[in-house]
Amino acid sequence: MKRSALAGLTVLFMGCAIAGIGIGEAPAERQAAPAADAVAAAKLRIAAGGAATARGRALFEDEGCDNCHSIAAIGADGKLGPRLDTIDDDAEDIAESIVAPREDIVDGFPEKLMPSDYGQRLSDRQIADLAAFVAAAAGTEPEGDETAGESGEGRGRGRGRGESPGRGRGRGGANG
Amino acid sequence: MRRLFAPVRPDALARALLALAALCVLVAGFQHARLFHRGYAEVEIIGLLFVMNAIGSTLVVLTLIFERAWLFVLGTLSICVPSLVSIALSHSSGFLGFREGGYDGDALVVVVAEVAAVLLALAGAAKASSTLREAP
Repeated sequence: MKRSALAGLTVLFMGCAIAGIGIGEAPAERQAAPAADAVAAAKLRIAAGGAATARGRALFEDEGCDNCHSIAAIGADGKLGPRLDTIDDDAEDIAESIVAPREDIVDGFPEKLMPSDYGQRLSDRQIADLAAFVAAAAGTEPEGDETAGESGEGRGRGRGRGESPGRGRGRGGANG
Repeated sequence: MRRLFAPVRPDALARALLALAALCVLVAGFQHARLFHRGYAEVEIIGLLFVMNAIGSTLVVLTLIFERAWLFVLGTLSICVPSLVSIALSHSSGFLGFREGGYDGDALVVVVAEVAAVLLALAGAAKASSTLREAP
């Protein structure tokens, strides 16, 4: 009887955990998703984007960024990191956040989850492409700025820049 | 093979070591279930593995509750060692296309619990193997 009770308690405890009862929610679920018209607009911006945006999208998926980050316009539904289609950072700030992801963490998200070696693993142009794609998805890319990523020198990578108030992984994303 | 499934009742020290190992397995399994609902559910294959770890951990602990000590030791090693290898891979070259940057509190709890579970299970098995007697 005592053994059966212990087994029952174990199954009940773990059953609740596996079912998600009392576990809480992923931090990203507290961030509001963009409205349907915003998603449609983001799709248009991505489709109309230049080669840098297209390369950035391919990199975003190949590098597994979509495992952790949400961008509704491409069906990315990661919840480990902040969603990226509601941020207000421009491409330059996004590039800095890719290279130095621990500089500014959005409240509630793990500090060390995102690899900090993209600055070594990716070329300047690849980082600029990724930033151009995310900026296009978020609608923070200035119009007519799509060619900046072509040269590979068009976006900063955080070198020589001071702390910027707009810097960070998805800062502003929580605002929807 | 028959010995693996036979109920056994080792001495008090071995039982204590195995009980502590079971507690560690339970902690690691609970953390996997918790992390699944905290965002890993969306990670392809990895999310499923987290749920399987939690279910497997529950079953392994049940084997000890019902005195299948050898099955418990085998189960603990079968769950915790591959899990630790996967964690190490995901923090270096990547595991199934998934990479992590560092060890946050949640990851540390899993690593410490699983390392402790393996060591305690092996210690308990070593102690039990010398003094083990079959349960009546």
